[in-house]
Amino acid sequence: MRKENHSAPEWQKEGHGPKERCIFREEADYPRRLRQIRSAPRRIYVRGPLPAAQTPSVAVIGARKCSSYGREMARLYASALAAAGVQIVSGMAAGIDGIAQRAALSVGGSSVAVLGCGTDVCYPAENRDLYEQLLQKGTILSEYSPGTPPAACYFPARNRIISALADLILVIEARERSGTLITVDFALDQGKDVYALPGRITDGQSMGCNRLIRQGAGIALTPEDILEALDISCQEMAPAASNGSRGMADGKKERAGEAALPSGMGPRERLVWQQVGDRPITLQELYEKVRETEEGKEFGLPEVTDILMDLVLRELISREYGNKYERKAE
Amino acid sequence: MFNTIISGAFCGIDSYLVQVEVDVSQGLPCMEMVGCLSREAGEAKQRIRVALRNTGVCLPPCRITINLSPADRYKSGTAFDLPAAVGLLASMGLVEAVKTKGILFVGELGLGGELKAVRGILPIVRAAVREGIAVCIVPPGNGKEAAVAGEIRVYEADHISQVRAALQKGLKEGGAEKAGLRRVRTARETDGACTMSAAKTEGKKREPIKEWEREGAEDFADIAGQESVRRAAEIAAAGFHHMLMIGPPGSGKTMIARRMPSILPPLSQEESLEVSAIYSVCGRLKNGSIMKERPFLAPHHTATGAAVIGGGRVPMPGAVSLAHRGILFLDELPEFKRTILDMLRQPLEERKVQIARTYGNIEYPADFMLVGAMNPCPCGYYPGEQCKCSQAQTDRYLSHVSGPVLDRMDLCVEVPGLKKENLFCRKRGESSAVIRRRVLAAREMQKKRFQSSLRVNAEMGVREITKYCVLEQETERKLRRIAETCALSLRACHKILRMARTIADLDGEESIRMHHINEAVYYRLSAGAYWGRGQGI
Repeated sequence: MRKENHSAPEWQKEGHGPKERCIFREEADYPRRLRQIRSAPRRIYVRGPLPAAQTPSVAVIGARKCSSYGREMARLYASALAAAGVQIVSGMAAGIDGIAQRAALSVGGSSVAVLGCGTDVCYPAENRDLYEQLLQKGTILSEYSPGTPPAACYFPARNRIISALADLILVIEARERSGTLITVDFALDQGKDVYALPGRITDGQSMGCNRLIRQGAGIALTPEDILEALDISCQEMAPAASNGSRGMADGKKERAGEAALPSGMGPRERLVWQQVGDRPITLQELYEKVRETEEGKEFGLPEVTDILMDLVLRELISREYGNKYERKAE
Repeated sequence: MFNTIISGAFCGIDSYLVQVEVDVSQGLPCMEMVGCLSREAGEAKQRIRVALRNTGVCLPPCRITINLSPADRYKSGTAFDLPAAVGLLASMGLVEAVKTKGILFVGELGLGGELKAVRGILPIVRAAVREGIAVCIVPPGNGKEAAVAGEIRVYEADHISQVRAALQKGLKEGGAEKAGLRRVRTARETDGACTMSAAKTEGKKREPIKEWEREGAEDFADIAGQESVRRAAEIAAAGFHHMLMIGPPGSGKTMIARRMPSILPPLSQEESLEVSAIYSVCGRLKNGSIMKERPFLAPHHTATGAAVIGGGRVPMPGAVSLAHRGILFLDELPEFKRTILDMLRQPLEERKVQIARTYGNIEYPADFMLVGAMNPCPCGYYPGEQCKCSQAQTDRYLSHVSGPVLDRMDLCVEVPGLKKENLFCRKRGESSAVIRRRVLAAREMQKKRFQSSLRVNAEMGVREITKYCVLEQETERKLRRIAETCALSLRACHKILRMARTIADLDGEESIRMHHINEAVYYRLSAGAYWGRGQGI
């Protein structure tokens, strides 16, 4: 691994964004939540405003390899929570972490990224845009000195900081043996609430979440659930929180019913669209499913391909990694 | 006495006639061969001396000079043994010089005087036909190959003494049959009558299909399901487009690739000669007969550059040329060295390879259909549940296939793993013969459209695309929107148009409609779902 790959360009180190501060555990500025844990770092490096002790904060975490369900939900929950004034803590990793933080910043909320490298190093490189945004509008925090390149051994350790800075942990998507569960373990040790987003039982991507729920984690059915859980611990946020959450809950109810057909769809399109489910499928699987239906008997593969492509171009269906297709979540 | 005998040589697959000049004159007894010869060509004098002595002809104590003209072209191979020996016999007055005129001689001599087969007979005899030579004498085993070259009388001789006897009597005077030379009839001479009549009837078109079935080759009927891959294969075959298959291990990628030749149209006479010439130069024609099936080359991924592109001190055709007019199948594409894959860029673009050596450039044709197969990640199961690879591993694996190579793939299709319920499925798919019939119909449309300028849609240049891929206004507007949203390059757009043309041809439609474009876009953009994450749609 070439170190210079990850380090920020020169112009950024010099005065771009807020200056880096080094805060020792003994100092008054040191975040209260962090000081409470047993293995609190001796010093932390922070760019941007320090996480305020009275602001409710939620860690939205999940797998790097995520499904589009996970992606959509991370966006939904993070933006709803951030809009209600909750601070989103995460690790700026690829997948759920990055998506949640982007969503939080996009609705004007605040977000804290805890890195497994120096605060002047952007890792992973694909999240460069998020890193820049966080420098402007959020906070970047690390226990590693500036210039430290990312290393595998740093990441589990930084997870304890993520859980420590949050009042509540929300797991969006995790496989059965996911690194996300390390954070959950820390959170349980530190006595934090853990919420998990339920997924299908056949879906390996959600297996970790479903297991957490069986072990007694809270079930995050709507963002409001999370806000309610936070209300108990931080009542001062109630007005803002309930406003934001009610909007979300209404939207949720609509979605809970039969998925509404997008307008402007002919019978052929409708047939294909209905067969493309929430789980990504390949063209081959789609074709077989269409053929199984009564009206789909006379459909040829070229026709299915044509309709599928048409719906993709109309942005009603999205394409996933591995050339799989699924309905676009609204 | 001085005499000239006609022989031939080849350079790449280009061939030319060589005048073998033999002079026997007074001087210190010695034998010289000149004319820019390779080692094995120069050694001919030893073989000739011994071979003639062993057939009862002792060389006179004279100065013998053999010159191979044009003397400035580098000549290799052992095909000049026979003409030099015949020239020597004529110069010694053992055969009449007049009777050796107008005959092409090719062949290697053994020390006992027996003739042995040589490489490159087909291009050499073709050069002779071009120059209007009417008769040729070739070693045993080369006759069939020579006979397909065109209008020429072909004799096979086993021994130098037979040739001598035949020439003493004179070939025209019936000496050939008497001396035991075998006449090899050209295809037109043997079944000229029946092909002439068949060509007039409709039955001709169907004939090759039956032939294929009779041979019991691998058939698409062996593959159950997998309709999307079958469709992609059909489109690729109809327009000669390059295809990439991505799928988990054991999903049938190799099986499908091996069945590709069975749905391609049979080789035409002209194509067969082109391909046979390449194989002849390598000495790889089986039983000396010409190529009737489309070549299918599947080099292992440890292949070197010389093996793939062609090379050696005297450059021999590589896999890309041996796959000319056929299929080059690269299994486990990312396992190939990146440099090797990048070497394919020139032949993919220009449909030929130029190999530069100190004494000149050699050009081999390399118009092949590239069929690639690969797994989506090192373990092979991504994005399935079983995948154990990290994102970085997968990225590294995929990056072995460079962008430019990927860009040249017209179709990309994922081959889903077989479901358990299909494991012992007895249901058979559509047979190759049926698919081939549709492919042939599509090719027929292309032939009509291009007349003789091009063969297939994949060959269309920018000018042809603007001429033959005319879109309705509405369709064009939509394609432009697709190009914008997916950030397609101009090359990608052209590929989509070529492919849409092929799909329309398969439908038997003259104009390209939106659903043709849509399907082409699907197959073209599939690769983006693996490589360009977050790119496109």
